This record gives sequence, structure tokens and C-alpha cells, in this order.
Amino acid sequence: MNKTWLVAKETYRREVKNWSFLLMIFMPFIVLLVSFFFGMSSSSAFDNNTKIGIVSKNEGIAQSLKKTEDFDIFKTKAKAVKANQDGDIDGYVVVENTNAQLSATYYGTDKMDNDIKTELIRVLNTHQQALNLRNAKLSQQQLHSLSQKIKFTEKTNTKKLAASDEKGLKTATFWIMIFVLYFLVQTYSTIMAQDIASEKGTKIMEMIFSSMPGGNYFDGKVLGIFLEIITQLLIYAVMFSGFYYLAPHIDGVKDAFAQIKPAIDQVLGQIISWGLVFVVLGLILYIVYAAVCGAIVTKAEDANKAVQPLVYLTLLGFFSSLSLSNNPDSLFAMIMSYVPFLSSFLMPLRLIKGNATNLEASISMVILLAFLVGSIWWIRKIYPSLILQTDDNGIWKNMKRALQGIKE
Amino acid sequence: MLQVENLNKSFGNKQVLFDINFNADNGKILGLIGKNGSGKTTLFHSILKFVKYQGTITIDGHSFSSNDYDSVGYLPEERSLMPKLTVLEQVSFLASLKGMKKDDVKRDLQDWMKKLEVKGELTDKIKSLSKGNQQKIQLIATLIHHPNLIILDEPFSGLDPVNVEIIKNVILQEKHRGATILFSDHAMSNVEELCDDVVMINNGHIVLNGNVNDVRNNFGLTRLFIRTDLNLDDVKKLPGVENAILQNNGIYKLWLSQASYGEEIFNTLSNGEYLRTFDQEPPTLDEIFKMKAGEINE
Ligand SMILES: Nc1ncnc2c1ncn2[C@@H]1O[C@H](COP(=O)(O)OP(=O)(O)OP(=O)(O)O)[C@@H](O)[C@H]1O
Ligand SMILES: [Mg+2]
Repeated sequence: MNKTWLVAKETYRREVKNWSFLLMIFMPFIVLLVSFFFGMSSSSAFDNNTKIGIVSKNEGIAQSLKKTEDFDIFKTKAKAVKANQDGDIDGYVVVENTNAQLSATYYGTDKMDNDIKTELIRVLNTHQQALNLRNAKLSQQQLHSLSQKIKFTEKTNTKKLAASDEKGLKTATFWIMIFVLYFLVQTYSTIMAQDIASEKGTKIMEMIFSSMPGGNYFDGKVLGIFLEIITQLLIYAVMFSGFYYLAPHIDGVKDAFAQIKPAIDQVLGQIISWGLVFVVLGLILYIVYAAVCGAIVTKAEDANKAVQPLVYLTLLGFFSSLSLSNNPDSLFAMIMSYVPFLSSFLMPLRLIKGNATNLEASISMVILLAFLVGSIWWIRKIYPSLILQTDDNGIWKNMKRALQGIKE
Repeated sequence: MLQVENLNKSFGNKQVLFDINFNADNGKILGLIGKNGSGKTTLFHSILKFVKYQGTITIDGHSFSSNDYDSVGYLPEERSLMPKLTVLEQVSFLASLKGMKKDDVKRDLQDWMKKLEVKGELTDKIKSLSKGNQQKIQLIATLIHHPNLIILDEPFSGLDPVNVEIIKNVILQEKHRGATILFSDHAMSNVEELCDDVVMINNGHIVLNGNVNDVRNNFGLTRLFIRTDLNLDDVKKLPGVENAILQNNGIYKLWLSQASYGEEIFNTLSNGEYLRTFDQEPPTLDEIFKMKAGEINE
């Protein structure tokens, strides 16, 4: 155990000291930032293109439309026509009030954007209603009871929303976990395989195997890579909790954060679940097999090729859970939710969709666990022969020779 | 002490080692000689339990167990270290797997580097060292934890004569410390010079095993070296001569069918007069090996 730990520490130290580890940690943020800026500029360009002029003398309408970025307010029709000709706006709407009847006429080359039309009509309707109420000359009491009724409907509405929100958050939690699994396997299967393959290339392994059992060394390698994964997740966790506790005190972010905080809390509450068990076991399984892939090849540069089957398996798992998310009771999803490697994606999906019982989940988990333990037992045995096999005669031949080496 | 009894090893249905039996004693050096592919490395791998085998291999009376790892030093045949590590990091890591403390490694490593005349600092990256110096660092990593059983697979390959001499001295020091040492080599001269015992292995069979001097002497003094005015044809006609050649140094080398012909030839040549060179020797290990390996049928 002591030596296993030394190997884990050495593996961890070498991986984390590497500058590519830092790059890997911060890459997602760089990507996010870049796409954010691209998104900003493209969405503002989009806004410019579809800005609609509003010609209205009614201050109320002008004020409520000004709040959104889709509209420009003009006092006179002449100004709107000029802005249209200059290309500042795509068209304009003239709003008139004749005998308490609001009428709007659109002038433009293209048809009006649907979303903008909806928004405009909604605002105008509100004002029309206000006009109607004013014309109907309702008593104070009638108005009061009307507003009470509105309050009531709001209440039922929010309750309904919360229920569907919870379902949505469960699904969101599932997607986050599945994505993290997919992301970690994609990243770390290559790292694991490459680490082992490059060591095998140096042929120092015989010295190491004369110092400790090969199986223990294998444990140490996998443990070291898991320490690296945990480090990455911990760094993210620290960054996230920093944001979580600081955000309520930062002026610009405060309000937006207050809105999403309940959702975040709920997602956090959903993390500890059946799904997490499948994801964690799945991750271990993938990393263990990535180590085997690295041990099979004879050149470090072949490690990427060797982990391809694993990468395809995660792709299969990830995209079948994407495409089956509306069809979790299909036979394919049923079968795959029991197959190790894929069950980590599909069983959580079926659970979230209420399509699998706890019993089914337990059976699938036992299969996954048994397969994982069996794999590790078998790999620990053949690991030294795989590593000591350095003739370059193809993956399958190497496999065969390794198996021959451990027989008798 | 290492004992190998009835060792058989196959890969699939290809048998590589057949009924190997030998002992290696404490404080002695055993040389393992064999052609390429004769099974030397496989034998070492069996001793170290890298591969499964049939038969019994015991170290000091017990079979190799996890307690023995720390008292074994193994220098693999193909050499290379982790290029990105520094000398200290590399040796520390390997030595720590042998149960050595980092401070002890740091202290001893410097002495070892001086002893082996390694040109480089503790903080140098492995890849910045020359191949020979890397090889020496690897030997240091093999020996730094004072192993009782030392296995060196072709330790001299790729080194110049000066460095071969340095390493021979280190191996002799380890012998005097009381370690059991096994090494394999193709060059018999190294074995003849260093080893107490020799095991010759051919196509997986032991063809010869024993004390180096005994082995040679058992073959009798059938090699005769003489300096004479006779020409080669006349030399070949001397009694008991099976073959003869004229060496570059002007000395004839004669193969005798029996050692006893030596005296007869001496009398014929000298006739009671001065004879500058007359040297009767057993065959060299090289010759014995070649005979045993069936390359020269005498
Ligand atoms: N893992 C393996 N699988 C199958 N055959 C093997 C394996 N390892 C070695 N062999 C075979 O065993 C035989 C002995 O090989 P070994 O490496 O022990 O020879 P060697 O005496 O060390 O040779 P050299 O002097 O070239 O180092 C060879 O025929 C080799 O092909
Ligand atoms: Mg060999």
C-alpha cells in the first residue's frame, strides 16, 4: 500500500506540475468567455438589424416600449421615415388613438419579426385595456375586486410553475452530470493512456516491477490520475463556491444571481442521487480501461489511437441519452441501461424520466460494480505482462502474448 | 543465495527454458552466457516473478515474495530512464520504491556519482546526460539501496573500455560486500575476468555450469601457443595437432587432441635449446562456449 501510494504521488506530481494541467483547468472558461463576447456582438448586431421605430404621442406607450431594445421611439412620422431611409430602423409603426381605439400601422420592406410583433401587440393591448377600463367608468369597488382576482390567478400560476421547474431542474442536474462524465472521460482517458504508454516507452518499468507487484503499480497509476481529476473538480468547486458566496455582494451581479440562486440550490440538492453513483462508477471503469489501452501500445504516440474505442463508447452513451431523452422506454435504452460503460449514461436517464424502478437501478448497478471489480482483478493480473511486452507487433498480438505470459 | 531447480518456461506452446538448475552463492559473481534468444532475459524475468514458470526458485531458502523486492537490484537489458526527470528525482523515486528515505538517497547519490565518474549534477535533467552517463545513473539506481541479490542484464553493453573497467570495479565491490550477483553477457572476456561461476545456456538448455577455472581446466590443456621458425604446414604435422593457425603476433596457435602431446612437441621443438614461447592452456570460455553451442565441431 505504501508503494502504491508513492506511485500515485509521483504520477500526480508529474501530471499536475505540467503546464498543460493549468491550461486544461482554465480552457473551459476561456472558451466560455470567447463565445460570450462573440454572442454579445452578434446579438447586438441582430438587434440593430431588426429595430422597429414607433411613432406615438402617448407617453405611456413610449415608456413601456422603450424598456426593450427592439424599439426606437419617434415623436413625428417624418423623423421615423428619415431613420428608416438611413437604415437605423427596419420599419416603423404608427400608433394612433382615435375615440379610445388604439390602431397601429406598420410600414416596412420586410415582414415584421414575429417576436417583436407579439411584444408590441401585448403592450398595446395593455394600454387598450386601460383605455377600456377608463371608458367603462368602473366604480372603485369594482376595480378593487378585479385586482384581487388578478392576484389570485397569479398565485396559482406560481405554484404550477414551481412543480414543473423541479422536474426541469432534475433533468438539468442529469444533463450536467452526464456532461461532466463525458467531459472527464474524454480528457482523462487520453491522459491516463498517454502517461502509461510513455512510461512503457522508457522501459524503466522492469526496474519498477522488480520493486513492487505490477498490480499494485497499476493501482497507484489509476489512483494518481483520480487525484488529478479530484484536484480539477476541487478547483472548480472552490471557484464556484467563491462565486456563490460573493455574488450576493457584487452590485452588477447581485440581482441576476438572486434569480438563479434557487435553481442552483435545487441542482445542488439533486446531485446526490442514483445518477451520481452510476457516473462515478462509470468514470472509474473508463479510466481503468484507458490504462489498459495505454499499456497495450508500444509507442506513446499510439496512445491516442488506443483510447478511441473508449471515446466512441462515451460518444455512444452521450448521444444515445440525448436522442433517447424523449423515448426512454425504447428497447434499446432498456438494454443499454444494463450494459457497463453505457449504463452510466442511460440508467440515470431512465431514472430521471421515471421509467426505471429502484430495483432495476440496483440490478444495473450490481452488474456495473461486478464488471468493474472483475475488470480490475483481471487487469491487475495481466498488467505487468502487458507492460513488459515491448515488441511492436500489433495490439491484438500483444494482447495474446500477454495472456500467454500469465498462463501456466 | 539463489537456487533454481527444474525451471521450465513456455510462452504459449513455445518452450523457451528447459530444466534449468543452478545455484548462485552469496559473495560470488555468476556469469550467464548464451547466444541471442537463448533465454537469458527470460531466466531473469522468471527469477523476478515477472512471468509465471514451472519449477522452484528460492532466495535464501524461500520462494520470491513481496518481502524480497527491497533486497533485489535489477538492471534491465534495454536501458532508459524518464527523460523529463532530474537525476535526483529519478533515483529518489526508484530508491523510494525500494524503501529508501529521500535524505539518504541525496547523501549517497553524490558519492555514487563520484565513484562512477558520472559527469552531471543532481539537478540535471536525465535527457541532458550522455547515453553512457544515463546508463551509469541507472546502475546507481539498481545498487543504491544495497541489494543482497543483484541481477544485471548485459551491464557493459554500449560502454567504452574505460567505463567498462569502472563498472567492473563497482561490481567487485558489491561482491565483497557479500551480495549475490548474476550478470549476463556476450563477451566471454568479461565473464572470465569477473566471475567465480559460469552458466552457459544454449537454446534454453544449460550446456555447462560450474566454477570458471574448473570448467576450463576440465577441458584439459589442449591449446598450445608457440613461436618457431617452422612454417604452418610443418607445424600442422607435429604430433597430436588437429589444427593450427598463425596469429598476428607471430605466435602459432595449435589445437591438440590430447594435452599429453604437449610434452612431445616441446621436446621436438626445443631439442634442449632455448624456446622463446611455449604456453599450454585450457580452451578459453569463448571456445568452450562455441564448442558447446555447436558452432565449431571439433
Ligand atoms: N513475451 C514473450 N512471448 C513469447 N516469446 C517470448 C517472450 N519473451 C521472450 N520470448 C522468446 O523467448 C526466447 C528467449 O528470449 P530471451 O529474451 O530470454 O533471450 P536472451 O537470451 O535474453 O537474448 P538476447 O541475448 O538477445 O538478449 C526468444 O526466442 C524469444 O522470442
Ligand atoms: Mg536478453
